[in-house]
Amino acid sequence: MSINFSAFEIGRRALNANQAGISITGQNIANVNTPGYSRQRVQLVESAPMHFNGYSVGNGVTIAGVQDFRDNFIESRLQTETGIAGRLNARRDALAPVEATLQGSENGGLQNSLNNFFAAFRDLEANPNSVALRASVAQKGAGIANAFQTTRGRLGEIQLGTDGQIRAKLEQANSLSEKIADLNLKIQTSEATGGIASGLRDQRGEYAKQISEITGARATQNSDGTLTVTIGEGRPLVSGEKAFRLTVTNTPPLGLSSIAIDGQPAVFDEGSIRGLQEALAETSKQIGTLDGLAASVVSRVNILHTSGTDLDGNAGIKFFDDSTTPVTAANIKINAAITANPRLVVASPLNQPGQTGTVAGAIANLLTDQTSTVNSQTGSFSSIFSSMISLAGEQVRTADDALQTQSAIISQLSAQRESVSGVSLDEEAINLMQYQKAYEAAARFMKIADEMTQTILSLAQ
Amino acid sequence: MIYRVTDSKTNLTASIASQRSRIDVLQERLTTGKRINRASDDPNGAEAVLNLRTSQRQIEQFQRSAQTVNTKLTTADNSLESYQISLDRTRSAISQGLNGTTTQEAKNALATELESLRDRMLNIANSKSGDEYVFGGTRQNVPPFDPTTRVPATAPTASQFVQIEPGSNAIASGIAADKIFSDASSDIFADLTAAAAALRGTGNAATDRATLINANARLVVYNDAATNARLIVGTNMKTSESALENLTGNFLSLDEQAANIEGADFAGTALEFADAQSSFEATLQVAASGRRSLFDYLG
Repeated sequence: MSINFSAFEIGRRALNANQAGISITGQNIANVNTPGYSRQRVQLVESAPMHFNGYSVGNGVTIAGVQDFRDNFIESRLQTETGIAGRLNARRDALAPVEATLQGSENGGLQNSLNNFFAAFRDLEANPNSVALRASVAQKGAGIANAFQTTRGRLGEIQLGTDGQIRAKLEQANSLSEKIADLNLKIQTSEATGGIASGLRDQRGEYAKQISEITGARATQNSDGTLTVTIGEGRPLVSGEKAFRLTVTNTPPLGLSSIAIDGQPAVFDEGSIRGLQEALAETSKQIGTLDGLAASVVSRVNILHTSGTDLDGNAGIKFFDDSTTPVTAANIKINAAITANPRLVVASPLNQPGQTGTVAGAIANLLTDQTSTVNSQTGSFSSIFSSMISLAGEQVRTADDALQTQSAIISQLSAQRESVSGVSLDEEAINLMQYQKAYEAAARFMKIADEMTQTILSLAQ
Repeated sequence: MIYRVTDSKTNLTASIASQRSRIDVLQERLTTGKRINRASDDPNGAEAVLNLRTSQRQIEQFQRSAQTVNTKLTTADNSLESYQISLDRTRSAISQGLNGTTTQEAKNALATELESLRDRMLNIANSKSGDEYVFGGTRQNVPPFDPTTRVPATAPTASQFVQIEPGSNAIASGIAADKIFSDASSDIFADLTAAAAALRGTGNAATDRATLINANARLVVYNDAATNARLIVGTNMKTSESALENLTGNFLSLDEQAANIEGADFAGTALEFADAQSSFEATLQVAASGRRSLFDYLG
C-alpha cells in the first residue's frame, strides 16, 4: 500500500479555491456601494484527472479565473442616455436664469417699466399743460432706459457665465480623456500578462459614463481590451492610449468660446456642453430681440415726439438720444435735454388732418399698438415682450419635462444594470457560508488524510 | 421586469428627490394662491396672463384719464351754470334800464351792477382748474381774456381732446372761451361795458337806447352759445361716466379671466399636498428602516 500524497494536493487545491471564493465574496461585500462596480465570482473547474492503474482519479479543483458580471449593451445604453440627460440638465439650468431675468419681480422688471413709461404719457394726455406730469414722464423715460440696460446687463452676465461653464466642462472632459487613455494602457498590459483587470474596467466604465454626460461621447469596446471614445462626427477623444485634447479659442466680438479637436471644429451631439451651447444660442437670440425692442421703442416714440410742439410752442425734439447707432438695450438713454428741462416733453394735439387726440395719447397707445416690428416679429411692445418671457419659460419647461422622462429611463437602465452587475448582500451571505463550509470540509479532509498517512508511517516503525 | 434585486439605494434617492420636488411645487401654489408662478409653470398661460395684466394696467390708466376729464367737464358745467345765472341777471338789469320810468340815479346803480356782473363773468371766463384755464382749450399760456383790458387773447385755440377708452376716439375735455363769451362780431365784456356807459348816459339818448337794445339782443346770442356749450359738455360728461362704468366692468372681467388661468384650485392643491406628504413620509420610513439582509440573521 502506498502513501496517498495526492490527497494533500486535492486538499490544498480545495483550500485555495474556497479561500479565493471567500476573498472574492469579501471584495463584493466591500464594494456594495461603489458606483459602477460589477460583482465578481470565482470560476472553479475540476482539475484534470490522474490516470492510475487504468482508471481516472480526480485531482481536485482549479481556479479558472474571476468572472465579472457586466452587460456591455446596458452600459452602452446607459452612457447614451446619460449624455442626453446631461444636455437637458445643462440646458434647463442655463436657461432658468434667463426666464427669471425677463420675468423680473412683481413690482420691478422691464415689463413694469414699460407699463409705467407709457402710462405716464397717458396721464399727461389728460393734463397736457402740467409741468409736474412732464417731469414724471422724463423720470419714467429714464426708468425704462435703466430697466432695458439692467435686463441686458443681466442677460450678458448669464451669457458669459454659461460660456464659463462650457470652458470648465471642457477641462473636466480633457481630464477624463487622459484617465481613460491611461486605464486603456493598464488594462491592456494587465490582461496581456494574464492578469485580472475587472476593477480597472469598472473604473474606466465610470469615467466613460462621466465623459458621456459632459460630451455625449460614445464608447466602443475593442478586442484588444481598449475603449475608443468618440464625439460627434466620429472624432475620437480617446483612441488606445492616446487622448485628444479639446481646445478653445475666443470668438469676437464677445470672446465666446469656440471648441476644436485636433484642429477641427468639435461637434457635440449630446452632453452638457451641447446643452450649454444651445442655451448660449438661445440667450444670444433673446438679447437680439431685447435690443430690437429697445430700438423700436426709441424709433417710434421719437417719430411721434418730433411731430408735435412742447409746452412753450417749440418744435418737439427727440425724446430718446439715438446718436449712438445702432440703438440697443445696452445704450438706450433719454435725451439729456429733456431730463434737464421737462417742459420739452410734447403733449400737443396731433398734427394730422382728421385726427383728434394728442401726441402724448398716441405715444401712450404704442404699448398696445399691434403694428410695431421687432426684428421679424410684428405686434405690440407689450405682446412682443410677453412672448419673450413665454419663450424663455417654454424652453425651460420643455427641457424639464424631457429631463423627467429621461430620469425615468436612466432609473430603469440603472436598475437593469444593478440586476446584472449589482451586489446582493443576501447572495454574498449565502456564498460566504458556502465557501466557509467548503473550506472547513477541505480542512477536515486534510486532517483525515494526514491521520491516514500517520497511520501508514507508524506501521513502518 | 427586474429579476434580481440588489442593495443599491440609487432609485430610492431619486424617488425621495422627486417627491420632495413635487411637495415644493404644491407648497408654492398654496402659499401664493397661483398655479403659475413663473413662465415655465405654463408658458402659454403665463403669456396670456401677462397680456391680460397689461390690459388691466391700461384700463387703470384710462380710468384716471376718464376721471380727470369728468372732473374738468363738471367744473366747466358748473362755471357755465354760474355764467348763465349772471346773464339772466344782466338781462333783467338792462330791461330795467330800458324802462322809461327808471330814474337816472337808478340807471347809474344799474350801470354799476352791470359792471360788477361783467367782472364776475370775466372771472368765470378766466377761471382755472389746477394749472389749466377751464375755457383755455389748447391755448394755456395766457388767459382767454386780458384781466385788465378784457381784450380776448389773439392766439388760436381749440378744444383739448383726450382718449378715455381703449380703441375709442378722443373726446373734448372742455370747450374754448371763443365759443361761449365771444363771436365774430363782439364779446360779452365789450357789450356790457357799452351798455353800462349807455345807462350812465353818453349825451345821446337815442344812441344809448339803441346800445341797450343791442346789448339785450346780444345777451340772447350769448345765452344760446352757453346753452349749446353746456349741451356739448353734458354729453361728454355722460360719455366719460359711461366710460368709467365700462372700464370698471372690463377691469373686473379681465381680473376674473387672469385668475381663472393662473389661480390655484385650493381644495384640489391641498388634497394633492396631503397625498404627496403622506407618500414622502412613507418613503422616508422605508429608507430609515432599511432592508434587512441575510447577514442580520446569521450569528
